[in-house]
Amino acid sequence: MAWPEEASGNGAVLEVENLRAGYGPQTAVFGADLRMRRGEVVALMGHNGAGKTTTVKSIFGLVKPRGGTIRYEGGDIGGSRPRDNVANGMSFTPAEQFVFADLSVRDNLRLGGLSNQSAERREARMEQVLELFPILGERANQRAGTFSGGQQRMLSIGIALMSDPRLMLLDEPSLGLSPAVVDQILRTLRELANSESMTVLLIEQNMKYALEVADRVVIMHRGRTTLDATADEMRERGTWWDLF
Amino acid sequence: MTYWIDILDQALIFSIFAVSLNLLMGVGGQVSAAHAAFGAVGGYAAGYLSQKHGVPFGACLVIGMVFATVVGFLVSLPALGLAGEYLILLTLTAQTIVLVVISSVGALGGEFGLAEIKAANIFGKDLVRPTDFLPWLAIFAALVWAACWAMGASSFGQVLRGIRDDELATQALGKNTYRYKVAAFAVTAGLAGLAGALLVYYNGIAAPGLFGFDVSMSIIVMIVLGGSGNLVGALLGTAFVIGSVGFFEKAINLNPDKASLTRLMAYGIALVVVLFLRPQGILPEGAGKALRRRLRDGRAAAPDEIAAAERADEERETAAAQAPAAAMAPAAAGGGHDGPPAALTVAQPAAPAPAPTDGRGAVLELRGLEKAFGGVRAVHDLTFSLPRGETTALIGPNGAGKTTIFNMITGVFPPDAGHVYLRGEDITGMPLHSVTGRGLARTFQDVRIFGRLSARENVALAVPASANGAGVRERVGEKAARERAMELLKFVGLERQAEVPVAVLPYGDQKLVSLARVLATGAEVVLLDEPASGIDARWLETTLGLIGELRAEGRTVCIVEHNLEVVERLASHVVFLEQGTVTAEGTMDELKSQERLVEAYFGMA
Repeated sequence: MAWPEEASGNGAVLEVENLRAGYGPQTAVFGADLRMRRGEVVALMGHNGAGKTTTVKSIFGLVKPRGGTIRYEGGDIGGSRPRDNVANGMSFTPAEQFVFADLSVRDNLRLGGLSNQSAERREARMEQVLELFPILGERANQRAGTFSGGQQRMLSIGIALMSDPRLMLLDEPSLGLSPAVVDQILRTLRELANSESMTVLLIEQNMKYALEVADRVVIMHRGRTTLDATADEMRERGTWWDLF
Repeated sequence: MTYWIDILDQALIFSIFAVSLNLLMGVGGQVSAAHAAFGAVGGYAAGYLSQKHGVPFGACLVIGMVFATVVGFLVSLPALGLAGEYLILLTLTAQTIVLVVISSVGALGGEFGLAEIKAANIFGKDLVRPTDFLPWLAIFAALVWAACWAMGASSFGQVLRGIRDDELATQALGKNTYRYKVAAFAVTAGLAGLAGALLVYYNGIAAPGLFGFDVSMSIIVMIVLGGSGNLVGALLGTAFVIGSVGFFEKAINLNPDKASLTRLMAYGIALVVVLFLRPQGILPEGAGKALRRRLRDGRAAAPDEIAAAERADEERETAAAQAPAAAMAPAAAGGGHDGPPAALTVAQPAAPAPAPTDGRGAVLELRGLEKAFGGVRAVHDLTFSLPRGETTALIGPNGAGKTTIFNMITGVFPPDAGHVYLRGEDITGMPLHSVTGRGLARTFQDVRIFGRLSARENVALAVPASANGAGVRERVGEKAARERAMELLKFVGLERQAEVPVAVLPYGDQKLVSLARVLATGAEVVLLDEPASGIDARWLETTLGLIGELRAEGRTVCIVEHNLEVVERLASHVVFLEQGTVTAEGTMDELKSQERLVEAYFGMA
């Protein structure tokens, strides 16, 4: 696969080459390639069971790779533990609802910031998150379990942000949410990528949302990455049926 | 010496308990904490009749067994409708109730039980000393071992193993799993009754203490320690548990009080050690088979099967990755099985196909199906049909309700409203096994094969009993089922892996086993849930070739599939679903050209 020129060279935050991974007897990823520059937003797309989630979980260390290499900020992190990856500035937000239901918004965010050493930085970060998602700011002391699905998703992204990630991994942040909420979440991610040069890899099923937020789209098909295109190139394609 | 013969006698009696419970628990996966209580039913029945009415020994044994079988049957009716942990609780309750009832009935001697049971009399000779009992106990035990071994190896036993590994999948193969479980429960309770009766005669008393909760537990321990699911394991466990009595009392001369405490401690430690080191027991299921296979293959030091399978997996994948195009051509042409699918000409559908129900020849019709889960509408006013002999694909965005539809058709759960017609017959809400029995079978997204069974056993289990002549001559039926299974494995190209436990096969092969298994049901209509997910190019081509051949020989196929390339190649009829309702139907080409569907599928046009 040919890399877009601007992504090549030493500026890559994340480089995945020929990744193979799976569960038990089942191999889900047969060969994934991915390269991301700092501050770039990439949408990973593909049919159900194409291996998107397994790829992202392998990067984060939740699934042990069976082959290939994963380099993050220049170092080989294949097979490393999630907690070490978090310490090195990575975050992962799963597709399932992921909040501590009995804790308040602030306490949820505090837990997310545990790996963050500086108390000052933690406080500042919390205020920033509450500003980014005003609805969370208004209900900062309310129990997270009482929130709607969209608010919980915002909170779970807020929890991830509390660890000051330089690379955010998100599994279908739009899943099951109304278009207005999705727009707000994607806009926030885009802003963070622009203002903090945060790198964002998100899994997405919806082409409209993907093209709204992403610089590039990577398509996975049957366990392999089969296309790497800019958002514009994707928009100009005559059809997407052949990709899925 | 007499001491050790006494121990041996007890071991023989307990081996009947252990071997019979193993059939229920090790083979069938149904844990019963009431096995000693069924022993009490048989033991007390025998003791009472012998002591109060002078009924002879042999008749008492038989009546004891019958009583225990009946009580076991009655307990099993409510118990076996429950999931595992509730079954344990319910049998625990049964154990307690039986003992409480027995100890409170005056005629049965209350807390003290029935003493001075008449000596067992066989051919005019009273059995008094342990040496008198030994040969007869050995005969009874051997008979029970043989019976349990035969049941475990029969098609009945294979279905029990299927229930243990995956009950839903077993139902999907057309087996009424509830009936099988009740039968196993009643039979094993009866055998426990026999052991209980022997125990009563052997001790000369029938007392509650012989059949307490601790006894039930120690029978379970015998199976877990020795290795469940196989006869020798249960015997090893019995020898260990009963033998330890003698070991602590005699061999290292502890006084009996201390010895019983030390023994309990030893059980505990042994159990923990075994569960850590050999979670499947000292002798795991299938160990004997694996050994025989190695001897036959003449490999002095056979490599670990799992490692071998992984290597094979790797090699196939590498080959496929290096030459995807090359891998496709031969696979599509041959698919790993030789010649035309001769196997399938033998495969007559379970039911003869009557004339089409309407002009279009729809074999399966869904009309106005509705389904909601907790207020969320998953399926709404769903109406479509499967044209006979064609392959239909259900596609649509995530959450469109595709798997829910499969589940409603096959009776995994009933629709809230609407009807499903199979060849004109209303099958709405029919249980899964009845639907399969009527000629509509399904696979599952995750393969749901029986991991500890071999590929051949997996497939043979699915061959319907009516098709192989069971009921007339069981043995002939089993042989026919085995042969049919081999034909189908040959059809999917797995005849060489037929005897290997499927858990060690690569995932692609496991999917092929599940395909062979669904064909073994003889179903005319086959629903395949994501047949191409999770497998690489080589297996994909084989799978697609096989599904194509199903259509070629006249079966009606319906697939749920996210890979549109697969849909395009297989399906002549595509049903597009959005939020649980059909929004378009036609060929894939027709659907692709509709801008509205592009938007539904991708979020924008």
